[in-house]
Amino acid sequence: MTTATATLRRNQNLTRNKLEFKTGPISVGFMLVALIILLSLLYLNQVTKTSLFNYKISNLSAKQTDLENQKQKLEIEAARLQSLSEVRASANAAGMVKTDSVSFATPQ
Amino acid sequence: MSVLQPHNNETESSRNKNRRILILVVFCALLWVITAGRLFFVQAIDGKDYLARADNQQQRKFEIPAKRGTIYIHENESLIPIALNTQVYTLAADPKFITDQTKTADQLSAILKQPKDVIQQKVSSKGRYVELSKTVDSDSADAIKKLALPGIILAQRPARQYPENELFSQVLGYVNADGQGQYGFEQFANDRLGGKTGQLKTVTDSLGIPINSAENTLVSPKDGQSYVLTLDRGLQQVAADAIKSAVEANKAESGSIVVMEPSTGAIKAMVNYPDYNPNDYAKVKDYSLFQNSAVSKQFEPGSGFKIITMAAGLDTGKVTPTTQYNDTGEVKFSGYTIKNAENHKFGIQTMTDVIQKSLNTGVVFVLEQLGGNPTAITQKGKEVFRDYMNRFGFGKVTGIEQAGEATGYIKSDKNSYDIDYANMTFGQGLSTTSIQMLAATAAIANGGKLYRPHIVEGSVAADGGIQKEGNYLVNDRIMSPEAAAQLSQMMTQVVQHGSGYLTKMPGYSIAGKTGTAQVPLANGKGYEPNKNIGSFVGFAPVGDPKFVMFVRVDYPHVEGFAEKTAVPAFATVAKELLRYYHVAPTQ
Repeated sequence: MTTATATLRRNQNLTRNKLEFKTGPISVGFMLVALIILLSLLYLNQVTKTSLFNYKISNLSAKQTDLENQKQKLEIEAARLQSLSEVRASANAAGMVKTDSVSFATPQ
Repeated sequence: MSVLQPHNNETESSRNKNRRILILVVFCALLWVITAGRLFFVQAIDGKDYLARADNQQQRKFEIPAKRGTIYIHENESLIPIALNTQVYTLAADPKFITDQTKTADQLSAILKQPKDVIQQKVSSKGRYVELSKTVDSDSADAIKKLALPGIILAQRPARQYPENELFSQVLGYVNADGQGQYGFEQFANDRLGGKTGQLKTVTDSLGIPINSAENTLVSPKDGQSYVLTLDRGLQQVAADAIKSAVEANKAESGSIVVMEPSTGAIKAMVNYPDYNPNDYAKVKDYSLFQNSAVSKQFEPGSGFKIITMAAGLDTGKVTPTTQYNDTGEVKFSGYTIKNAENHKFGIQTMTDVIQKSLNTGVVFVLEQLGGNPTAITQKGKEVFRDYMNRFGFGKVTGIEQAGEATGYIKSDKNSYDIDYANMTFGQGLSTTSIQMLAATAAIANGGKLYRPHIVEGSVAADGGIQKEGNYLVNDRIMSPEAAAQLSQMMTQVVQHGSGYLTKMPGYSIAGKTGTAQVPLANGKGYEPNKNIGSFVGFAPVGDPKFVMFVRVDYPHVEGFAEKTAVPAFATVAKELLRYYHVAPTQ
C-alpha cells in the first residue's frame, strides 16, 4: 500500500453529504393538524374513560345503596321477629306455662 | 393664483381626512372607554354577583343526610335495637300525566290497601301534585315501581322504626317526617342522635347532572350517636301489663309505673297507659298520649309525701320512731282545721303509727317539732322543712333524659302561710312528678344518697363498646343512714299492717307508702269532688334494696283509696322484680 492510497483511505470518511430536512408551510400545517388530532384523540379517550368510570361509580354507588337498604330491612325484620310481642305470640311461647312459685336453693 | 388652487384643494382634502381619522379615533377611544368601563363594572363592582350567578348555573349543592343513631337496650350480653332507621316513600301523583285514572286507582288501591274511590278522586283532580301516601314501605314502593304508572311519583326519605311498637312509646317519643325527634328521648337527644348533615358541592352538566371535577367539594355527614338505655324489656312488659290492668280494673283515666335501681339511679321500667304506637304516630288524635306522664304530669302527691316530712323529723333528731303525740283527730290553725282522713282519731300514737296509719295530724306535729316549739309552726320549722324538700329534689327537674320534664311546684316562702306549710306536710298545696317521688324514695332506701334518675347507660363507641355516661350521684348524704334506716323500717309497717297490705309477701321485707291525693280545681279554689290520684311508692328488700317503684293511677272510678287502686299493681310488678333480681325470701 502506497502512502497516497493510505492517505486517501484515511480521509475517505471526512467528506459527508450534508442532509437537509426542509419543511415548507404546508408540511408544518399538516404536522400541526396531525398533532392537534392526536391530542384530541387522547383527550377524547380520557374523557370517555372518565365517563365510563363515572358510570361504574354510579352503578356501584347504587348497588351499595341497594345493599344498605336491604341490610336495613333485614335488621328491622330481625328486630321485629325478636320483639316481645312476636316472642309471646310464637308457637314456642304457646307451649310454655307461667310458674307461680320459685324455689331458691339455700347455700349450706 | 391658479398655481395655488390645486394646493389649497389638497390641503382641504387632507384636513378633511385628518378630521375623519380624528373622529374615528375619538369614537374608538370612546367605545374603548365605554367597553372598559362596562368591563370594570362587570368584573370589579358586580363581579361577585355574576360569579355567584355563574356558580348557580354550573354548580349544585346536594345535602347528604346523616344516619340517625340507633337506640338499644341490653339483654344479657346482646344489644337489642328498639329504635332504628328505615326508608319509606312518599307517593304522589301528577294527574296531568295520568291517562287511565280508573286503572291507576285500581292498581294502587290493591297495593296500598286504601279505598279505590279515594285514590281515584285524588288522581282525577286538577292539581299538578297530589299526595297519595306519606309512608309507603319499601316492598309496596317496589311493587309500584314495577307497574311503571305514568304520572306517579315516589320519593324516598329516611324514617324511624320501633320494633317493640307501644312498649317504649312514651319513653322514646318518635321522629317526625322532617327527621326531628318529638317527645321522649328522641327529642331530648335529637341533636346527638341526628348527627350533622353533609354537603356535596359539585359541577353539573347542562341538565344539572353532577360531573366529576377537581372543583367538587365534599363535606361528609357526621352520623348520629347511638345509645344504650338502662331499660329492661322484660320488666317494661311486666309493668306495662300491670298498669293496663290497674287502669282498666279501676275504670281510671290513666296511670304510670316507674321502676328504678336505688343504688345507681338507673331506670329499669317506665310505662304509662294509655300509650300509642310510635310507628303510627300520625294516627294519634289525642296528643296528650305523646307525653311521658311519669316525668311531665304534676300532681299533688298526697300522703306519699309524709315520708319526706318524717325524714326531716328523724334526720334532725326532733323525733324518733317511738316519739309519741296525742292524736285528737284534728289540728287548728288561725281559722283552719286539719283533720285525718275519714275523721279518724287514735289518741296516743308513735311516729311509726303516723306513717303506718297515715295521720295528717302526726306530720303536722313533726313540722311543729322542727321549729323548736312543740305546739306551734315557727319560721325556723318552715325553713328546715323547706330545706329538706329542696334536698330531696322537689321543685326542680331531676335531669332524666326526657323532653318535657316538669319541675313540680312548691310555693315560695313569701306566699306561704302556716296553713300552707301544714298542708304540705301531707302532700297538699304542692305538686310533684312521679319521677321526683321515685328519686326521693330511692334516697331513703339506699341510706341517704340521692341519685339522678337516668335512662341512658352509655353511648355506643366506634369499636362497638359502650362508653358509660357520667356520675349520677347528686348528693351522697341528704339524710343520715341511721335516719334512713329508721324511716325504711317505719315504712315496712305500712305493708305489714297498713294500707300497703296487698303487697305483703311472705319472707320479704317490703317498705312503702300509699297516697290518695285530691285533685285541685282548675281555678285553684278547693278540690274536685270524687276525683283522686292513687299512688304507692315502695322498695324491697329493706336493707339491701334492689328496686324502688312508683305506681300512679289517675282518677279511678271505683270506691276506695290507693290501697285498692295502686297497691295491687305494685304487688304484681314487685313479685316479678324479686324473681328478676333473684331475691330469696329471708324471713
